[in-house]
This record gives sequence, C-alpha cells and structure tokens, in this order.
Amino acid sequence: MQRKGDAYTFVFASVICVFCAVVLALAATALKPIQEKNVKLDVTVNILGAVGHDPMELKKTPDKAFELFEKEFEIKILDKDNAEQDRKFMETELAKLGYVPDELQDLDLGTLVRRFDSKVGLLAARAGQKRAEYDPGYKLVYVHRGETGGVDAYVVPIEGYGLWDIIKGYLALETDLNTIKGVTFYEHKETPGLGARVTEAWFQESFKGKKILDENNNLVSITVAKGPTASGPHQVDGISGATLTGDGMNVFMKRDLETYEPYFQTLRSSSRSATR
Amino acid sequence: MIAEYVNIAMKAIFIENILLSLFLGMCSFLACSKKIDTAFGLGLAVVFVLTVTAPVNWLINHFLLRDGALAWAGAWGATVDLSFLQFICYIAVIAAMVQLVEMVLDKFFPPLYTALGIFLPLIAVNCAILGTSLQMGTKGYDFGETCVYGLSSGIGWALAIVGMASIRTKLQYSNLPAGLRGLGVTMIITGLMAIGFMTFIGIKL
Amino acid sequence: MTTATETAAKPKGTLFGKKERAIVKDPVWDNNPITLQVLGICSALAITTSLQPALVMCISLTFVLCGSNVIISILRNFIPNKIRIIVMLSVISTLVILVDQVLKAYSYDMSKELSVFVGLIITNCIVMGRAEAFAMANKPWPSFLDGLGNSLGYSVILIVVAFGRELFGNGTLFGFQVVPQVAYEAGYTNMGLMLLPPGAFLILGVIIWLQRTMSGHFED
Repeated sequence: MQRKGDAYTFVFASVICVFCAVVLALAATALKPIQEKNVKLDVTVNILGAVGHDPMELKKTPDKAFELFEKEFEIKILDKDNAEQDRKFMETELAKLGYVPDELQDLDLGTLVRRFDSKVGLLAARAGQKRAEYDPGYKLVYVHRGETGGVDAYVVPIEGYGLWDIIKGYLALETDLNTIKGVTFYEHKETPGLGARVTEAWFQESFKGKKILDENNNLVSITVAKGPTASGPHQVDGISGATLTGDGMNVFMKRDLETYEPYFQTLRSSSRSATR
Repeated sequence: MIAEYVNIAMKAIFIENILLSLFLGMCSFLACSKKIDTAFGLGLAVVFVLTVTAPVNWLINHFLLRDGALAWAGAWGATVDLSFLQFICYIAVIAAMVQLVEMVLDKFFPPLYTALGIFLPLIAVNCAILGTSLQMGTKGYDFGETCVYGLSSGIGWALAIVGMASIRTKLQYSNLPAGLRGLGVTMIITGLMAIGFMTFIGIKL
Repeated sequence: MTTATETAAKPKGTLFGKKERAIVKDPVWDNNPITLQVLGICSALAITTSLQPALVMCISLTFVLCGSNVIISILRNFIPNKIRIIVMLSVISTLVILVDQVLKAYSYDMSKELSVFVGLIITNCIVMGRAEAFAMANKPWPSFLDGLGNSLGYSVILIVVAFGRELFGNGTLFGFQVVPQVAYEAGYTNMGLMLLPPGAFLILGVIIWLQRTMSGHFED
C-alpha cells in the first residue's frame, strides 16, 4: 500500500462517512411509515385488549384491529383542568415548528398527542414560558361503545416504574367508573419469569370486577397484594417473588387514577342526575 | 436531589450491576481477570472512560440526534429526527474519547498511562461503555443523573472484575477437572457472584 | 435454522473445496467463538431466556458478521491502517442499524424484547475480532465463509443455552408448553433461577465444561 498520505486518509474517511450516512438515511426514511404503524398497532391492540378483545388475535390482522378501534372507540382529550379539548390547539402549535398542516390533520389523535408531548418543552421555550405553565397537560380517555351504541366502558392509559423500568398498560372501567372491566400491561422490562408475568392472562383477569372506590365513593385505587393473599374488593393476588413489581404498580396505578378522578367525578354525578 | 443521585449510584453499582445483571463487558472481564493488578488497572480505565463518554453522548443525543433536537439550529430543525444515527455516533464518540484519553494521559500523567497503557484501546469495544450510553437513553436520565450513572456503572464494573480476579488468584491452587479450568469455572463463579449481588434487589434508599 | 443455512450455501459446490469447508466447519466446533475463542459472550447471556429472541439474535448476527466480513475484505487494500478500527466500526454499525430498523419495521415485538442488545452487536467482539483477524487478510469469498462459520458456532451455543433456560425456567419451548400439566400436579416446579442472570452464567459454564472435555481443548 503506497497510498498512505494524510490526504488520502481524510478522503477515505469522508467517503465512508457519506456512504454510511446515505445508506442509513434511505433505510430509515423508507421504513419509518411501517415502524410508526407498528407502534400505533401496539397501542390500539392493547386498548382493545382492555375491553375484552383478544390482543394476540388482533395483532395478526392490523387493518381489522384499526377498523374495530375506529368503530368502537371515541377518543376524548382532556386538559389539566379536565375540560374537554379538541385537536386544534395541538395542530396550530405543531405547525409553528414546521410540520405540514395537512399531514397533521391525517394523524390519529393518539399519535398527535404523543408527538405534541415530545415537543412541549420546545414549544414552551419558543413561547418564552416555563414548561409547567405552558403545558396544557393533555391526556386521553378512550370511550368504548358497545354493540347497542351506548357507552360501555372508559379506558385510560396507566404507566410507571415497576422494579426495573417503566410498565405501560391500559385500564378499562365500567360505566359506573368504579368497577374494573379489564386491564392490559404490555411494555415492561421486568424480570423474566417473575415480574414479567404481569402480561399473563390470569394476572390481568384477576383485576376484573374489582372496585377503585370505597363505600364513601373515595378513590382508594387498587393494590397488588404480596403474593397470593388478596382480600377484599380493592386487592388482587400478587405474583410470588415479584413483590417489588407489585409495589411499583400500586404507586403508579393510584397516581394515574388520581389524575383522572376529577373527570370521573363529573361523569358520575352527571349520570346520577340523569337517572334520577 | 442528592438522595436521587445516591439512589442512582447504588442502583448502578450493586443492584443493576452492569456486568452481573446486564451482562455487559463480559469479554474483557473474562480475559483480564487473571491477576488483581491488571484487573484493577482495567477497572480504573473503564471508570474513567465511562465517566467521560456517558455525559458526552448524552449531550450529542440531546442536542443533535433525538427527535426535534436540532431546533436550536433554526426553524427547520424541530421536525428532524436523527435518532437512527444513535449507534454510529455513540461508537464514534467512544472510539474518539478512548483515543483522546490515551493521548492526554500520555502527555500529562505518564505513570497512569503506563499502568493502563495496553488496556485503553481495548475499551473501545467493551460493550459496557456502549451499553451504558444506550441505557441512559432508555432510562431517560437528565444530564446530572447521566454523569452519576456513568461513574457508578464504571465503579460497579470495576468492583466485579477486581472481585473476580481475587477469587481466581485463590483458585490457582485448587484441583479442578481439566475441562472446567479457565473459562468454565470463571463462568460458574460469575454466576455465584451474580446470585450474591441479587440480594441487593429491593433495597430502597 | 443452522442446517437450513448450511444447505442453502452448499449448491455453490465449485466454490467449496476442502479448505473452504474447513473455514466454515472449524469455528462451529473445534474453534468455537464462544467456548474457545471467548468472544461475543455478552449477548449469548442476555437474550437467551427463551428460544425465539435467541434465534432472531442469531439471524441478525449472521447477517452483520457475513456482511461486515465481505465489505471489510473488499475494502481491505484501501483502508488506511491508521483509521482501520474506526472504519470497521462504521461499517459494522451501519449494518447493525440496518438490522435494527428492519426489526422495528417487520418484527416490532421482537425488537422491543431485544431492545438495546441489537445495538450491542456493534461491540460484539466476534464481529470486530473476525474483521481484524480474518477479513483484513483474506479475499471476500473466504471471508464470507469465515463469517458464516463463526455465526453458526455462535448460534449453536446460543440455541443450546436458550433451550436449557426456556425449558427449565419456563417449561416451554418457542413459547409452547412442553412440560405436561401432570408433572406440575405431581409437584414439579419451574426453576426460576434459570431465567435470572446467574442461571445464564451457570448453564454457559457447564456447556463450556462439556464442550471442552469433548473437544479436548484445555487451559492450564
């Protein structure tokens, strides 16, 4: 090898860099739509799972899953004062950052809120405000309509730390906003064979029919017992050897339900006055 | 604030020891744990490199790569997502940092350089380094937490390798079946050490 | 999977002289990358709690290792010696990112499960080690075969470890229940330790012991 000059080294390095970058950029751009669809499918299937559909079955037929979701669910956006909002604010704000308005309109609400959330810090900085003041604190409620067309369940996302990392899931409540209709946990990094059993059917089944309110209609949330020793309507059997996973879940389930509680209260009182 | 940092440090050193529970940096762990001296030297070098690379990679990810990170460069930057370049950038930073650390040590701390000398280049392909950079992303640490995490991951790794080296020194005098000698028994001892470290799980600070 | 790759490569018979066959066969048993060369152990332990992720990991590594060996081998006369490590790392990381992106698009659940360990193929010493030791000094075709052989050797160990861990730890293989319900009723329980990190170390330790005793390679 004679070509050992520094100039050659630089040229060679640059050619390699450019070549690698181009290949990767092409691959990333080409695969992005499919990847985004996967994320969306994962979320959709788990929301459907929380109201009793079979997530594994639905995963095999993505289009059917999206169709079913479209048909059965209505998505509501709430701000931090629990007032219902529409998507307009997010669209105009995101458009300020250079997103194409037409593309934003095509996004489904879940994706839009996720994207908005990831840009909130940036938008707040642009507006010269602190994040806490600026952030409208949007959260989603998925309203499930049964076959008769009436409201059948409310699904809310729950997530927080287990033992190792974040566990994500959805919790479905019956129309009394007290009885649990179903739970799914899907994303987690718990210990295989121990904490990871939160994704198993028996564990998720055991939440069904449990209550989140006590006799005086105060929120007590629901707790995972230490091992198979659950008692009462607010507790489910824990997984042997995974007490800490359960402890983590108790914390975030309570916290997330508390943020939705004011909204649930208004729903409960309006339904009570309607039946009266 | 301080409690938070101590918590992260304890978690990284004992509970989620990067070597014993995440399996990162196994190759050099097995290759360089025969003598305590070399194990200590390598451990020190890893601590050093981790403490430098984790924060640098955090900055790179935060200001260049993640979705919307380029917003500081102008209006066009807010919609750019370069996170697919994460691996290649991290590894480039690590390789460059190792080289830089080598040069700085050579110039200003010759004794340390001669002590660590041969191990430094090895570190570029130690997966504990890249692993830590990737972990800090998935864990969502901020800058301060990343610094602490990098340092304590390194300490955890060093602790494991020095421990291993001491056990292996003792082991030289024992009569093992021929096939088990060397790598085989090292694996099994690592397993036993991992069981020991698992008893730290559940300690809440 | 291992036999499938082998037979798929065989029809190109003319290119398979005795020497070429040795390049593929050697690392599978006599010079196994994991048990004898002590390379690429990290991932062999981390993702072997069940067979499916282990298999995906093997396929990913085969792709990266063969690809990087061929590319490095083609470039070997052009790479300036001073920057060869970083050039190798760039080629390897490009391939790894491709694998990562493809997994995210076509096997999302698997990519969630493997998480950072796909990225860590970059620092898998097998890839670097073979690029430096073999591809830098050989023509593309032998380099490809060397990559193939080493990935096979890696895959064999990975699958054996995963087989043991999933069977004893969970009573399943590829997610299907194989330990009958009757056994559980008779008092059999799954061995949770197998799924935890120590289980991986212990199983691999025993496998290394067996493999070395059989192949007659000893350390002093």
